[in-house]
Amino acid sequence: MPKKSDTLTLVERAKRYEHQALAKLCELYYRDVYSYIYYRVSNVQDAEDLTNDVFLKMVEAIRSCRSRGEKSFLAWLFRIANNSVVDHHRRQAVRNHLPLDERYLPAHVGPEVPVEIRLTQERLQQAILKLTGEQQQVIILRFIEGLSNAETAQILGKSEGAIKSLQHRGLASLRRILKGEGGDSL
Amino acid sequence: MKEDLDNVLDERLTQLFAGDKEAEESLTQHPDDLPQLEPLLRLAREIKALPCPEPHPRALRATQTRVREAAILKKEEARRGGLFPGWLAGQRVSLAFTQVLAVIIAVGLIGFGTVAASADSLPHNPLYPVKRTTERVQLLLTFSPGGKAQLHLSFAERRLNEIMGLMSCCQSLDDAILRSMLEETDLAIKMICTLPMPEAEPLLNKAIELTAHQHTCLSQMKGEVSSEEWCILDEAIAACRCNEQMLEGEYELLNGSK
Repeated sequence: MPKKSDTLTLVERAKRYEHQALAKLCELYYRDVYSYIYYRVSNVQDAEDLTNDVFLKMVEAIRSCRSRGEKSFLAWLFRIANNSVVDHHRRQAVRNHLPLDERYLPAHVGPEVPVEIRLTQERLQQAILKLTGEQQQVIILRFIEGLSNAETAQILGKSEGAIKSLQHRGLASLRRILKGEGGDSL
Repeated sequence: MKEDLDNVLDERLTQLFAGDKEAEESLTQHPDDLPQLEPLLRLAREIKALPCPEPHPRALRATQTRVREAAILKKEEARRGGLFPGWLAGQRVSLAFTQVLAVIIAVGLIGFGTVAASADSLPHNPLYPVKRTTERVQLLLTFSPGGKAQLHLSFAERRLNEIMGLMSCCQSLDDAILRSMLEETDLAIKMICTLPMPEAEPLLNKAIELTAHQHTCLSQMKGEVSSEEWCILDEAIAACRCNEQMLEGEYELLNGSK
């Protein structure tokens, strides 16, 4: 069973295009990347397609990866994922065929979750999508992926101070968005 | 002041998520000297409680299959690039034909009997290089992807037989031959994945049988190797199992698209 602590060795093997090592990296980090993308596109099918793209780009770029372990490899993957999401939104903006609310259908919440909570969660997810790209990234990486300020700063190429500021502004914007929609329960 | 607020919010968030009772109490009972932060902390807690999306195992398997295919292609690309760098690239074809011609002449000179005799040779045998050269010629003279896939499969099978032969006569595991077996299997899989369904099916079945056979034979050797060789063998077994699963997935995919 592969472990995240084996990342360094796996990356070294992956640089020789050993497909077993690449498949293991995929297995170890699929969930992290999928969850990050899911909260940025809020659509299961798009999240699966984009996650697939991220891992194919990983194969293309693996030789340029300067990972020193699990955290920096994940940061590298999240940077690839962010580029894929940005490209995706650009393509969506060109098509722009459906209003936002119709396109995004959360599908991972099981039926056992009470309807009230589910609606609150859906509203929160929709609100996250209305933040700026950087605010979205900070909110998702900090609160959903559980990364530290330093790790988030590394992914976004910013200082820790800038991350704290984005975090503050992101939460404040989110609150305004939810208030504007009558979101008193949050 | 704004910077201070950013820092205070961050501190409170860190405490809150670390399960700090005091931060939790100050949040729920008495919004203190910074009341504007209280709703933001509540909101952060709500975000943290969002469910973690569970990816479908089918999506992971499909991505792993594509990653393996991409890796095989990149490996081959890198190998070709390594053999024919820069200015030599344009002479690839002529070099290949020169090799073929040279081998044909050599085979003619040495005689077909030698080639036939080399078929069962093991790596330490003087005829072994003849066997490997003949294989290269066979590959160079085969142009269809299906034919190439068939050859890679039979070469992978030969490497497995050589590994077992060496193990029974010398009780040693040849790492290079083991790697060569896995490479031949990879190349066969790559070729099979590019084939359309009617042509792919028998080869896919053969590849599934071969990887399962590799898996069984290598697993049986585990008790006979040294502790250093054990790791190498274990890794190769994992690779065979991986190939087996991937091929089965590919089989399902192809059958689904029939």
